[in-house]
Amino acid sequence: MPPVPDLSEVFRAECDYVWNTFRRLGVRDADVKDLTQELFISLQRLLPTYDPSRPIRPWLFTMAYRMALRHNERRRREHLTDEIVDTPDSSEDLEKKVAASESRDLVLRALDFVELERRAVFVLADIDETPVPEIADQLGIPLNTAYSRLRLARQDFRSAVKRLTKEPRS
Amino acid sequence: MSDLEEERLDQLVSSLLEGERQRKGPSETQITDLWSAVERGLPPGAAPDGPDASPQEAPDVTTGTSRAIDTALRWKIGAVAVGSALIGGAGGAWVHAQVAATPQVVYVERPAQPVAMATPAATPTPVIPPPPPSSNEADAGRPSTTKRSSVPRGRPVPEVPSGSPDALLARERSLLDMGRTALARGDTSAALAAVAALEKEAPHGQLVEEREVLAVQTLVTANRTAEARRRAALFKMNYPSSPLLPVVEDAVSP
Repeated sequence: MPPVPDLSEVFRAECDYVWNTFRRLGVRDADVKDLTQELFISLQRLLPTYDPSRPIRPWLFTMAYRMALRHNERRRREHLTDEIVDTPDSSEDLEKKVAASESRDLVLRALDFVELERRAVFVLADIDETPVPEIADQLGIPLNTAYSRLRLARQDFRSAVKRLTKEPRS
Repeated sequence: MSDLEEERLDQLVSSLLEGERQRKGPSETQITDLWSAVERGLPPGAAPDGPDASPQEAPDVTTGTSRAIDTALRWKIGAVAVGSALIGGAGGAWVHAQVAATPQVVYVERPAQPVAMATPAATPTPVIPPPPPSSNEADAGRPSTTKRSSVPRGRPVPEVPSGSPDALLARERSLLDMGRTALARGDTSAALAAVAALEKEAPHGQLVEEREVLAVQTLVTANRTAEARRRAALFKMNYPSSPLLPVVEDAVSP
């Protein structure tokens, strides 16, 4: 079995990945640094439990996903709703969402229209290229649920790209 | 939307995702700042060798193993030993009593491999003699920070007043480390005794989740699978957002 890497090795190799994962999971740019820092501090404690025979990225993603979930819930409670990750439920919300996310690039803006549970599967599958059975295992969900979320997320993402590319920019 | 437009949309989505896969992360300056912040946030004595002035450099694979071992050796932990009778395999109640009793202090090497997967190793060798008898109860539950070797071994452990939150946390850490060390050498009785001591001394402590992880891993190792699964289910119910949940789930997965 390969040795467990130490924290600095993981940081060097995966800092970019963790940073981008938080952004893809809807964490505001202003909070990405804090959450990345928090994750690596937690990792110091958790690394001894990591199985080095398995890829580290899905493991890191799961940590980031749970942190993003808590972070977004906390933000929602604090009524800081400028960039929260809920799928809009009305055309008015949709318009607000489009306006609020103009400054972000198209992928991240489109991801904002995908509900977080679906988005996690989508990011792992279609960006990180993780096999769906492994995604189901990492997220602790049934395989069929993983496939279902991926299908719906792809629809949401595609619709969002379509919508955003047709919207006039302010 | 026409077929042509649909096709263009498909191409756009594909190219967007491909571009996202190539996305760069933070700048080098941000990475350097970030690592400094991570180091500052680590508990005393836990800071590993960080990335040097070039944090983006590829790890030195030729020395990776030795570095990991070296780091592990420098992360000495002050663990509380349950005494030689524990090694002899005394019964659980007796062990529990010994755990709760004034401990003998030893230093053990922290395993470089994950505790849960470590090959049972030899019993840790005490490297310092037990402290002289003391009537000061504040000293009784706290591992000594005396080191036999003059080799620097990380940041010194700060003295904390007995009964303070820091003292309780230190006690929790000691018991947890003791349990993990016991599990690493295959001594599930001692590991469960440490769990029991944690439940008794710090039922609502700061390391409750870590305690439960240790309990589940130990029960699995002891082939008490049904108990492990019950405990894992409780963990999932009580801490659904815990970053340790995947560890617990891994432990009880077939």
